[in-house]
Amino acid sequence: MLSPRSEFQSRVAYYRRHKEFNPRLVEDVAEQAREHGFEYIVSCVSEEAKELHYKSRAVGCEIHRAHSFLRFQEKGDALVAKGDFEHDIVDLVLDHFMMRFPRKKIVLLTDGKAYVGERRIVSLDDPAKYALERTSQSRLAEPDWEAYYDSQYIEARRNRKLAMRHVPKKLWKQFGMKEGVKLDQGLITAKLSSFI
Amino acid sequence: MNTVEKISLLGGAAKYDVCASTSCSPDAVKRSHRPLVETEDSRQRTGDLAGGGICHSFTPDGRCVSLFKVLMTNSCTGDCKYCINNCDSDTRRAAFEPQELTDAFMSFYHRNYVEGLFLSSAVCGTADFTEEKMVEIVEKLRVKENFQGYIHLKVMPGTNRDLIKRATELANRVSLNLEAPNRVRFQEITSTKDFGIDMLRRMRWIQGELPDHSSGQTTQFVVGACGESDVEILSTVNDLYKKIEVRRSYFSAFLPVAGTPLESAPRAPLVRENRLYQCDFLMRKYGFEFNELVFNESGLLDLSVDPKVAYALNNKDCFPLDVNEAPYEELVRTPGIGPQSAMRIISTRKTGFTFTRPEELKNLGVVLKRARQFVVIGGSRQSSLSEFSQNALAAQ
Repeated sequence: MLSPRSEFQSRVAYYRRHKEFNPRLVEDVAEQAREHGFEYIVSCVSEEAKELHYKSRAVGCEIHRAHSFLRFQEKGDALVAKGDFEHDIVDLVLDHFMMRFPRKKIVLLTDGKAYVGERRIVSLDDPAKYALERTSQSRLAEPDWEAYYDSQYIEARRNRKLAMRHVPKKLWKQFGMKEGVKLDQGLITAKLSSFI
Repeated sequence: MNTVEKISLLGGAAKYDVCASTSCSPDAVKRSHRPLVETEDSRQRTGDLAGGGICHSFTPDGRCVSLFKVLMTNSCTGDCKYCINNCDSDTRRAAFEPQELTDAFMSFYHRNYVEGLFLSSAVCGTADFTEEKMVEIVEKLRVKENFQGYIHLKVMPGTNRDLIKRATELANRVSLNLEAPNRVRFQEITSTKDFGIDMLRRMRWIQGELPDHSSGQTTQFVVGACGESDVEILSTVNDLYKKIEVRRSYFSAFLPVAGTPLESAPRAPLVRENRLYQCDFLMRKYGFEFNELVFNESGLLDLSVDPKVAYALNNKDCFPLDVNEAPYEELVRTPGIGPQSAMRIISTRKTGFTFTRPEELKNLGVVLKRARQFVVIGGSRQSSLSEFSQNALAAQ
């Protein structure tokens, strides 16, 4: 577990990437931390501390989802993925995958730009060079993944509500998640490719 | 049979295994940036560990797809009565070639479909033969593919100690599924394995061989397949945590599978699995002792009451607690207050702050709906404990 000071720093660092970042909030919580200590902020006692917590958590959540749901397509020595982000997190996401695949060039297509990460350096490139093939966007058209995904379902444990809570509808578009189609329509026995 | 068909068959055969957590300690994550197997150029490695459990997809049953969970083969010499792969079953059989499996896994990993590999198997021939083949696959991944990410490897019951040592060196986590809580129950579901020799002794060997980088060993129980009680399961779990340092126990409610000797047996309620997990967390994370858990005269947990609420109702003299004075050990035993909220309450009190309103506790993550009846805030009780206890009993 992080110390209250580190936790505070981490929350501020994430909050700075929030789409509604307001430096005034940081000043306010810093003032409260000076007066009551970092525990006061980390424990969300005040309304400002609570706002900092929720907004930094929203950024952390989006990073976590990007790590989970971005899907790559191999194009030569590059791994290319497409995703839309609410907050300013592209470099953090790229960094995660650069660490994971140091031999590869990581390309993230977002907001009409191509962010390229290679050997821990991030640059911009022409997105047309990395256009994804249609099959990659319809990732469940990939037969090996479809076979595996279908094999993991246990009919007797069906709990669509729980699945929908984990993968809310807005993510389906954000990360091109075609599993959503199956969850939405509840047609468990249908093949995923029939919806693509 | 082609690779896609094998993925479907052998992936499906592994779906009941629930040891699929990938969460590693921050230390393990840092260590993952140093290669497990030394090579000349560390930039050649692929993969790393992630701190939080990352789920890459969710199936319509609400379970996450995190690892590539697959059997190396489903050809089995065992006769486990609950299992579709038992030797008497007429299910279709298949086996992955080592290269075929590593290629399939690396392809999923590169596309970010999975966070790691969970490799299990049926016992094909002998335990040693099977384990050797599985170790060969993991070696291929670690050395040839230079894969440094998460691998969970099953240890076959009855495997020799040298292979267990190699398995623990190569995998981040290993596990051996006990399936039943004791020898008597175990004999009811299989005659081809010995509970003491093939299972417990191997778990002790694993404990003895675990290297520093390991995330430990885990185990799994099939709940309700052999008429065992919750007391039997949880007392075994408690012993495993204390004596063999098992990191986690998993529970899988028994579901009868067509084509097995237990196909007409009643299925175990999922809520029982849930209650067992709750008790497991109380023992591992909340500091509860086994003898603090509340069972009925048949040794079963009350499925209609949360085990922590059952504890509180059984210890009414300990409640309500004053949140401005209670120590951590008492706070964490209060329904609605978890370890993190209890820590936050203590930290906040250290700043000189005094809680006067329930909303202040809510901000710290306390679930007021559950905690309200058991705490005193600012000198006043939030509602009557006896009233709550009557409601809980009425609900039963």
